[in-house]
Amino acid sequence: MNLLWILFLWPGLNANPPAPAPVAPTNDLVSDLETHLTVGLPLLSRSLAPALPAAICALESGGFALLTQRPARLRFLSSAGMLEDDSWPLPDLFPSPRGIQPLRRGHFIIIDRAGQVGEIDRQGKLVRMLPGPEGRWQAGALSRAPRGVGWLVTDLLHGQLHHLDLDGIVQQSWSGFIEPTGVCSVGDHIWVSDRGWHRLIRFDPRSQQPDPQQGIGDHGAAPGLLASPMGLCAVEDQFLWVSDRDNHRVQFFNGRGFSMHQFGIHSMLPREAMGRLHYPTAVAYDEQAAVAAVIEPSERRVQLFGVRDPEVPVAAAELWQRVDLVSHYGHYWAIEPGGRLLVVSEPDSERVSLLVRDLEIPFELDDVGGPGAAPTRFRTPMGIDFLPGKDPLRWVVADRGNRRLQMFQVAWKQQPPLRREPALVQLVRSVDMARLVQQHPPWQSSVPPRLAALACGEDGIIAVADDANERILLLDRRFRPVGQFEAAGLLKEATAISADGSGFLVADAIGGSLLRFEQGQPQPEVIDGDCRMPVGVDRHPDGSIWYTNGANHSLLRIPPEGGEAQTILGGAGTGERQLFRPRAVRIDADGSVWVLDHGNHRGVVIDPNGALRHFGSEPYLPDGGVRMRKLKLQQKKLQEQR
Amino acid sequence: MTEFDSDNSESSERPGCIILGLVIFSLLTGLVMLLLFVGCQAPPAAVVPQGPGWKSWISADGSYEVMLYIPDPAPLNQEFTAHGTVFKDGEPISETVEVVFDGGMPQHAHGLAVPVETIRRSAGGFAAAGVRFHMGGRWLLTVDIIDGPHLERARGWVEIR
Repeated sequence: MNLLWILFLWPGLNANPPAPAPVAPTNDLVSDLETHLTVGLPLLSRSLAPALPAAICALESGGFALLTQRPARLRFLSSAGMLEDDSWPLPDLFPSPRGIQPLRRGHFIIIDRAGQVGEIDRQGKLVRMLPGPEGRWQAGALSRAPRGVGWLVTDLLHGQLHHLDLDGIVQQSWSGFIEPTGVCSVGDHIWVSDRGWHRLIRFDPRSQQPDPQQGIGDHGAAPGLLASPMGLCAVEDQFLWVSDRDNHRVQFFNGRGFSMHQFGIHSMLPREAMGRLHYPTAVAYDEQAAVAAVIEPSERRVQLFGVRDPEVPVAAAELWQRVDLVSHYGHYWAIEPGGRLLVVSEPDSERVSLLVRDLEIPFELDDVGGPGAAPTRFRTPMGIDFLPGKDPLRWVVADRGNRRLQMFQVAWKQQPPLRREPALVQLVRSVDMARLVQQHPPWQSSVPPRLAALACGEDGIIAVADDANERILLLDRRFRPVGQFEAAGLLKEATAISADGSGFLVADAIGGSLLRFEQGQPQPEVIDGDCRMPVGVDRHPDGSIWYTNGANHSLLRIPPEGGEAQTILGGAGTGERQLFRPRAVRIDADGSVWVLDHGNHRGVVIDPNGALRHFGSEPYLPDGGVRMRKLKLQQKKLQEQR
Repeated sequence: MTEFDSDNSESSERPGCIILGLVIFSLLTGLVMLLLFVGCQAPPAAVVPQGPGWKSWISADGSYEVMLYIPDPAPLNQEFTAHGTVFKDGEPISETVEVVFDGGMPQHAHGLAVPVETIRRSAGGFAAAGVRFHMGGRWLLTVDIIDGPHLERARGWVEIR
């Protein structure tokens, strides 16, 4: 019997191959991990205004290289926070950079939103162009491939990931993503962050296909959950940093997908830095200095984070507490013409809120949504507008990640007292736009539609922007195709649309123009071909055209007779007449102007008599910061008295 | 002891075979006549079910009429099969149209404890087995009718005690 046991236990006779012995972590590895897990001490913040930071990478020699947009430049930042005075213009083909990776010879590989891939030197000069994926695509992120064999690029238009060799030729492609916003390689695995799934999708390219259902994380705020994950950064080929954008933090994951650490929390006061983050989109890590650089395009800045003293406890206010993803006033809203209601798209929480708007502080009656693909849910709600008619009152939402339109209705009795009424909002219908485009020959395209802005015309025609194909699709109330607007060379991206009599006004932020389309007319009327970055537009009952400009945080008015636009509100800030990254503008029949001041998480209303009022997050209201500081001081005094 | 064997064709007698053949011929002739008779008739009018437990809803845009059956009174914490029929322009919907039944309690922010699968039946029918209202109160029931890229919803409330 003993002999049998000996034979059974003898390694050489065991039928199964022995499991590899676990690699004992060396002291260096343990201490490095401990170091990574203490990163989060705010070191400093560097403003890049008016430029937007667009991409960043760590340099082998230490420090960081970063790319900006508007203007498109290459800049260098040391780990001590010194921003080199010299900044280098990027080649003309790269006006909207989306990724940068260093090469050994001191050069860089960069990608542009429009799908250009190229190599530049340290002065930003073009060394060579690389072919990249064929056809039309939109670059989302760039990374080294596993073991440094080539590059990985994501395509936001097709939801794809491509492996390029060192000469930029596609070697392999993977599909099944919704919005692949980040990519990196850790060991032999590829990691993709997907804003549509709110997950990290990990797979071994040698033997697996990416499976979002097996992805890591889900939509939420607790550690390990994600809300719009963006840029990824590999650490020691074993761990990774994740820009958890809509949670306003950075998370640290190990190679198995466990969240081990995080830093950052939403700013309490406008423009607050020093550890507070606001929509971070990318992170780079200088391993030698243990310094993380985080870029925040919404604040036009980069922040550096170093190692905390592990013996010093982190202030409670800096730690994650149970918080929900709350209203942030997204990019689009709509007002009920002549009525009391307001609907707001909230991509941060994947919801649409329904509010009563004729109060000093709008009251939320109900909301609809939640992350996912089931009916009523959203994956990035975008453009929104009320349909004409009030019986019942209906509105339409463009659901970008699900490539569909959803129509809702509400039967609100308007009887006091106001109270929240769950399920007050009802789904009427939806349409899968990807399938509809394929079924309707005049709309067929090689690139699936990517929905954005939306408006409902007086005759019930729904106009929705298809950014992937530089066009506007027109549908009737039952979501049946009725036409499209195209204008080659004129229309690049319909960033905002509004109904204008029998036509539609369009703000094109990429093309820097205001256009007016009319059904049956082959070409649009160019209202203003040089207005930098219009992001919202509407017609006033007096005939003037109002638009918001994202480039200089302003609201402008073009008089009915045309001519130079007048600035109505402007200047970056939270002051009474200031805005910060404004988006939609909607004008009621009585002439009141409703501006969505997204960067300040608030609404601004100009009444017909010219009076201004604001509503939204208290610290972002005019004098709100002052009031918040006073409250804090009062609370502190009370605590001391006790 | 007599043994019975299933294969006893050796012992069959000729007159019996003739009678059997005549019987089969008569049956087949009758069947053909019946099919011809049925085929000449106009299609039967859609039968709209009525009675306790049947609810009639019109979808939000008025395209469909949904007849939904759930037991009356609907049981608390017991599984049952919700079933029904969907009509469009007075006719049962075609077999290619998908129907999805679901339920939830919006005030409590939850749906059915165990998701159910809805299967299509002939003549516009559908059925969702395993529905269980695990909590008393107001439940919102939805029926989504999906025809190609288009989805339209019908919904209604039920009180579970």
